[in-house]
Amino acid sequence: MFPCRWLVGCWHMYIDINTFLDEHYAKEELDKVFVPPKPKVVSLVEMIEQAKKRAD
Amino acid sequence: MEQAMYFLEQKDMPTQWYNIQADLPEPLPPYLHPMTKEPIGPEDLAPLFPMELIKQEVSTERWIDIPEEVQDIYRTWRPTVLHRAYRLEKALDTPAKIFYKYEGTSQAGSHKPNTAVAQAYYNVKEGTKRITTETGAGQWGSALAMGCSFFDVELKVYMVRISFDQKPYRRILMETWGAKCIASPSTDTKGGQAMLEKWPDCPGSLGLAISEAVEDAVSRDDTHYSLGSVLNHVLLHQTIIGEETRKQMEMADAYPDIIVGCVGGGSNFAGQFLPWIRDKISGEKPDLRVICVEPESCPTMTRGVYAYDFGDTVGMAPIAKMHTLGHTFIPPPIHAGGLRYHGMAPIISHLYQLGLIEAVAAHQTAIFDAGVKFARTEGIVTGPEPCHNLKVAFDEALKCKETGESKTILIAHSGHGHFDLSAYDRYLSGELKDFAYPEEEVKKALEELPEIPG
Repeated sequence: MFPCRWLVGCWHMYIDINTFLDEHYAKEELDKVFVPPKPKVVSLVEMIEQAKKRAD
Repeated sequence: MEQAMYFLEQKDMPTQWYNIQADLPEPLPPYLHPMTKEPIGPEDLAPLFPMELIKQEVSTERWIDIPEEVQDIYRTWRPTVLHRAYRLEKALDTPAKIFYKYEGTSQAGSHKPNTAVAQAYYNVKEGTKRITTETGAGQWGSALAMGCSFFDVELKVYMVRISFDQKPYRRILMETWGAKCIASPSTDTKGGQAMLEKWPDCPGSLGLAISEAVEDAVSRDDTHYSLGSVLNHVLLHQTIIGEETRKQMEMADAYPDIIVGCVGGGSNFAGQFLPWIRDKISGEKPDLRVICVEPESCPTMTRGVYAYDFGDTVGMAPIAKMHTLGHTFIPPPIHAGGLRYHGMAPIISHLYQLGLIEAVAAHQTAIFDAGVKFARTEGIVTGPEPCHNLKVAFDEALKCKETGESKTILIAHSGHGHFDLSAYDRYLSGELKDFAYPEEEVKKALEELPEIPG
């Protein structure tokens, strides 16, 4: 499981989250976290596929 | 006499929605199917939506007719009034002219019925007997419940559990309009069952509720799914707000210099500004400023990006990287002002990337301060979400006071806050803080960040 890509938005008010991430993660690791999210339509199609699988 | 309200006759209500996709300088990128990698086609979305809504999702027709049956229901509350906020202007001692288009006079108290009614109509027209949806605090669920009651179609709403338990009034509203409302996660879907097995006390999340509503719709032939924000057809239905406002501003012999609105899923703001932004795109009004406001605690457009992303080595603007939540995340209850953790509408992201709109963030105490000032001058108790707009509109009005400019500011006001009085109570009693999360909780949460596999 990856850290949620929204953690910067959630934590920036409380600590220097960018420095924290710099100190605890390599850039390559953070690249995996901050990937482009899927558009809503794509995530809905994924949910359709998942729901079909659950029904099988 | 100062004219403080601009009424549009019902016969003059717009009869077409405006589709921004006809005028985008660059088209929205196509969506690829996650499995086949081919462009997503109508058949991929057919398990969820009626075909007419799927067509609207990808349409590039500039104007789309509003069906007569939908117009008839719109006329039970539309056109809504455009207000000139003279009392507020005097209280701020500003030379700015402040207008606000108020959507709180719909039966559900917000702008949401503009699309709820349309979606219920298209579903029934194509034979849908039953609709599912999700709702957070209940604004969308209640609007769709009303829309479904008008067209006599069954509705099941998956409501995020923490809101289901803590905010019963919108649930009661949904049930009054005939919808069935259950807490998510639920035992009614396999996805909900799996979550409850892992975490029996799970407070739920919007992502999980969506997943349950989708699974429910896919598992039955007579059922479709409905979404109240983000998607193109939802924003399209909301453009009646801005089209009405254009006529009303003309009645006031005014044109906005600045339009202010808040963004969660983006539907109300888009409904107001999309019919104006075409003037900026065409070059007719190049100086028009459109400002979206978001909460400082969830600043997806203005800040919520890891710093190095701003260097943008892959040619993708930060906003494109930050639109949706991983749906295992359960948000801490740190912001009372709504607008948390929605996906962003692709149209809004696209316009932001093109530099056609601006974004700013606001703290929650400041937005409630603005809400209280608005209530004490204009009388309306504003929902927490549009309180964001008030805060930034006030800031712009006060800048006018400094410069002596008499700019025209238009506020997109999405609805009242009568179901959000507990948030006002917390503000008025001094409980709301902008930086109040305990240090040990911060430390604990960060220690629990998962490892990244190599």
